[in-house]
Amino acid sequence: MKERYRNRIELLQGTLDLLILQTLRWGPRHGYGISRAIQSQSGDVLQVDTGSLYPALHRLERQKWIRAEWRLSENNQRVKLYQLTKAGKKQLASERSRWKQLQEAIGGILDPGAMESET
Amino acid sequence: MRFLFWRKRRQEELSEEIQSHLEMAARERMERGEHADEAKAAAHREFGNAAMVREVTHDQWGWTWLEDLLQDLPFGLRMLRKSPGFTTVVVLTLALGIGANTAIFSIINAVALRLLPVHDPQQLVLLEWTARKKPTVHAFVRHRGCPADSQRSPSLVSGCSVSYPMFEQVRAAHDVFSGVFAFAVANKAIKIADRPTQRRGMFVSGDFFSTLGSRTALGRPLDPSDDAPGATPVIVLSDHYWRTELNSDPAVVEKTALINRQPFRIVGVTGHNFPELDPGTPIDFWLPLVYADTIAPRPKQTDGASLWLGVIARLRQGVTQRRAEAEINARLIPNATTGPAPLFKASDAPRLLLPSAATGLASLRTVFGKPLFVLMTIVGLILLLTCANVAGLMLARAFARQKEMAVRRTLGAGRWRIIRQLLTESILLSVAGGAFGILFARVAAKSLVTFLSNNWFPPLQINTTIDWHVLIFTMAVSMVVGIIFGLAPALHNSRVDVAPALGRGHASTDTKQSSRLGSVFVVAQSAISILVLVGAALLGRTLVNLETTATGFKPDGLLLLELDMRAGGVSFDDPHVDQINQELQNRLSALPGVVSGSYSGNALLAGGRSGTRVNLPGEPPFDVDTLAVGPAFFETMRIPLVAGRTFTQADFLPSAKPTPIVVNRTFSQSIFGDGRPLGRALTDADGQLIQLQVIGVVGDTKYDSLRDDMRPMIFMPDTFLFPVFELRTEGDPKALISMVYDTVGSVNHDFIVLHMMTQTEQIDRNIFQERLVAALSILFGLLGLLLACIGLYGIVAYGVIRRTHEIGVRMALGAQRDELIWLSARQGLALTLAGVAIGLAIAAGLTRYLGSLLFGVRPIDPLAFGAMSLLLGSVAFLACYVPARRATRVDPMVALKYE
Repeated sequence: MKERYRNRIELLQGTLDLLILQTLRWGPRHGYGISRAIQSQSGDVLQVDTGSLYPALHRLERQKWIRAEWRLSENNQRVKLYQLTKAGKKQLASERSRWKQLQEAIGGILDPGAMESET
Repeated sequence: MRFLFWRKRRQEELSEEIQSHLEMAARERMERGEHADEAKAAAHREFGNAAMVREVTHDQWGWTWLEDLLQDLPFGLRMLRKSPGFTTVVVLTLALGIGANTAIFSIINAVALRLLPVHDPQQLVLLEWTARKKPTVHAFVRHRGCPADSQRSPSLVSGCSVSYPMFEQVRAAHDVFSGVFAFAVANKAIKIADRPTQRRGMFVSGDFFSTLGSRTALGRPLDPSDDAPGATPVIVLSDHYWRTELNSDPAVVEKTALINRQPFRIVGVTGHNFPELDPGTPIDFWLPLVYADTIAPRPKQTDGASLWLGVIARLRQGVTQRRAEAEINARLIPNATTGPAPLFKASDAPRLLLPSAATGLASLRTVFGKPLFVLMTIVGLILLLTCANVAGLMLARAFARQKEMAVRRTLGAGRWRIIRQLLTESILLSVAGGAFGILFARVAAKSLVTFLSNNWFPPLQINTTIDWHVLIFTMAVSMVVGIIFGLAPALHNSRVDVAPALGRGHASTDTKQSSRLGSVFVVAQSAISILVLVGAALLGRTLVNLETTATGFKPDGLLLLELDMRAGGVSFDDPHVDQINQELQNRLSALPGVVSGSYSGNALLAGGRSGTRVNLPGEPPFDVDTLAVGPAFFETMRIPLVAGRTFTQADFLPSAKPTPIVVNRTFSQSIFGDGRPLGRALTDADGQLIQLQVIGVVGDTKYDSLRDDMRPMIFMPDTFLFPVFELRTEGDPKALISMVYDTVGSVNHDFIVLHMMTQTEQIDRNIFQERLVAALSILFGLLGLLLACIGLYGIVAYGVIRRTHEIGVRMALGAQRDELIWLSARQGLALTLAGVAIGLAIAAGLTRYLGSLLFGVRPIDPLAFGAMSLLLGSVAFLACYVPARRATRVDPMVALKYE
C-alpha cells in the first residue's frame, strides 16, 4: 500500500512541485486550496492526489522553497497556510524555464514539421 | 529526546492539517447543497486513506535514517551472534584498546580537566606574576601547581607567591572581584583523639569558604571574624580526615584539635564534595591565616618582601579576565616597583596575570603532565594498531560475506544502505568494546593510581571515577574507532560486483591490495612488538636483579618507623635525646614478636645518605659515607661482624673519646690495605676536632640505592631528633603497627610517627620508578603481542578464504593435511619472521639508550632477545595454525563448484 503511494510521488515529482509553486505565486494558500486551484485552473483535468500533495508540500517546506504558518480561517478554523519564499520564487522561475524547454523538446519530437516551419 | 518531542508535535500538526482539509472540502460540498453526512463521507472518499497520506508525508521530514537504524540494529546483532568467536575476539581487543585510552584519559581528567565543584568555576582566577628578573625578597615560599612551573617562557621568571600587602591590595579591589582569598601550606602535626599525625593543612584567609561558595556538612565554615587578631582559634576539618581518622564522629564539632600542640576549636567538617584546590593532594584541615605567624616559624605576615601567599579571586559578574588583569596591574605594580625597597625593578617589566583557576591548582599536572602525555600517545598508537588489526579481521570476514552482499545488492539494496548496514555492525562491535573497555579502564586506572599514590608521601587521592567527561570521551573514541575499522571492509563490500561474486569466488585486484597492506601491518607489528617485548624483558630482568641483589643485611621481617620528636617538645639541643631514643628502643624491643630493635639517622635503601670527609694521618683527605646508629644496630639488621666488636652502651656516652667507629669491609680493605684496621685513628678533614678510632669491621651494605657499588662507609654512635627505628620481628612485621603506635605514645603523646612501613616496602618504594617502567612496558609488550597475533590471524584466515578454490584443487589432487596447513600458514609465518628480524635489528640499536635504567643486564642481552623471539614466534605460530587448520576443512567438491 505504502509503496503504491510512494511510486506515485516519484511519478509526479517535479511537475507537481512546479504546479504547487505556481499556485502559490499570488499569495498564501492552504493544502486544500492548492489542490482546488490546480484542479480548477486545469479545467478539472488534473486531480491532485492528497497522497502526493502533502508529501510534496512537506518536502518543499524542508527545501525552504515554501514556508508554512498557522492562521485562523474566516470560519475560525486553524489552517496551515503555505507561501513562497525568496528561494521558492527563484526555483519557480527556473522550473518554468525547464518546463518550457522540455515542452519544446517533446513538441519537436512529436511534431517535427511545426519546429521546422518555425525556424 | 528533543528530537522525539519535535516529531510528536509535527505529527499532531499534520493530523490537524489533514483534518482542516477534510472539513473545508466537506463545507464546500455542503455549500453546493449536499447533505452534511454525505458531504463528509464524500470528502473522506476523495481524500483517500488519511493514515497512508500521513505516513508518506512523514517520509519527507528527513529522519527515516532513525527508523532504518532501528532496522539495522537487530540485523547487525543477529549477524554478530552468528559468529560468536569473531565477535568475542574483536570486542575483547577493542575493550583493551579503548580501555587503555579511557584509563589514561580518566587520570588526565582527574588531575587536569575536571572543574572545581563550585558554582561558576570559570570565574575563579589565580594571581601570578612574571618579570625578567627575580624579585628582591626576604623569603619565598613556592606554591605547587602554579602554572609558572611549566608554561611561561624561559626568559621570564614567574611565581604564584605574593606578599601579604599585595593580597590586601587585591582584596580591596571590590569593583573587580566579588571575593578574594589567600592561602598558604600548613603541613602540621594534628592531634584530636589519640596520637598526633603529620597532615596536609592550609592556612586560609577569612573569605576562603565564601569565595568558593562552599559550605560545611557539619558545623560552620571559617569566616572573616575567625581571621582577626584575638579571635578564638578555630579549625575546619575535611570530610576525608573526619571519616578515616575520626570514624565519622558526629560530635566532633566543639572538640579541640591540637596543631603543633596549640589548641584549636573544631567548628566544622566539610562535605563529601568539597573542592580540592589542588586535585589529587587533599587537604585535611583549614586554619585561619592569622595563625600562620604563631604556629610556624614564618616570615612576618605583613612583611612586603616575603612572598609566601597564594591568592585566588572570583571575578565580579560582567568583569572580564582581561579587564581584571589591567586593573590589578594598574593598582599593584606602582607599589611593587617604588619605595625604599621595591620588590621589582621597573626595568624588569613586572606584570601580574590572572590565569584561570577553574580546574584548581593541579600541581599533579606539572608532575605527571609529561608522563601522562607520553602514555596517552602510546595508548593512542595502540588504539590505531587495534583498529588496523580489527579492520584486517573484518576484511577477512567481509570477503566471506561477499555472496551475501551480492544477493542483497541484487535484491535492491543501495550501496549506501549496505555500507550503513556494515558500519552499524562495526559500531555495534566498537560500542560493545567501549563498554567492556570502561570496566577494564576502571581497574587499570585504579591500580595505576594506587601504585602512584602508595609511593607518594603523603598519599595522593586521585579520583578516577568515570564521570561524564570520561563517558563522552569513551563513546566518541568507540564511535570513531568503529567507523575507522569498519569503513574499509564496508567500502570493499559495497563495491562487490554482483555477477562475478554470485558466479564464483574470485579475488579482485583491490582485495589483493588490501592484503598487501595487511602484510605490511603484520611485519610492522611483529617488529614493534618484539621491540617492546625486548625492552620489557630487559627492564624485567633489571627489576629481578635489583630485587635479588645482595643488600648486605636482611630486609625481610624488618619494620621501620620514622619519628619527629619536635612536636613532643624536644629540641635540637636537648640533652635527653639520647636517653629518649634508648628508652624507645628498649620499650619497642620488648614488644611481643620483636626480636631486637635499634635506630639510625637514615633508613637503609630509603634514597638518602650522609657523608663526610675524613683524614688518615699523613694522607690526603677522602670522602666516605656515614651512618649514625644506635646500640644493637648490626644485630638487628643482621649485618655480619668481620673483626673487632660492635657498639656497647659505653660507646654512646659523651665521655667516650676518641669516638669509637665501626667501618665496613670495603673501607677496611681500600683504606687500610695492610689488614690491621682495629684501633686505627682518623680525624675529620680540617680541624682535627673529632678523633675517631676504629673498633670493628662489619660486612658491606647498600646504603641509599640498590644500584650503587659498595662504598667505604663508617658507622658512628650518635643521637638524633628524627630517628628511624628498625625492629627485627618474628612473623608479619605489619601485625605490630598498632602496638608500636601505642608504645611511642606511652613515651610521649606528642611524638609524630612520620612513616611506618616494612623494610621491603621501603625498598619497593626506592625502586618505584623501575617497577613502574617495567610494569608498563611488560603490559604494553603483551598488548602489542596480542595485537600482532590478531593481525596475523586475520591475514591467515583471509588467505585461506581467498584460496579456497586452490586448496580444493590441491585436495582433489591428493595433498596431505599438513601440506595444506603449511601452505596456508607459511605466508603469516614468513611475515612474522621478517618482522622479528627487523625488530631485533632495531632493538639491538636502541636498547643501549636504556643503559642507565638497566641493572645487571647488558643492553644486548642474548637471553632477553632469544626468549622474546621465541615467545613471539610460538604465539605467532598458534595465531597462524588455528586459522590455517580451516584449510583442511574445505570440502573439495564445494570449493570446485565455485568455478
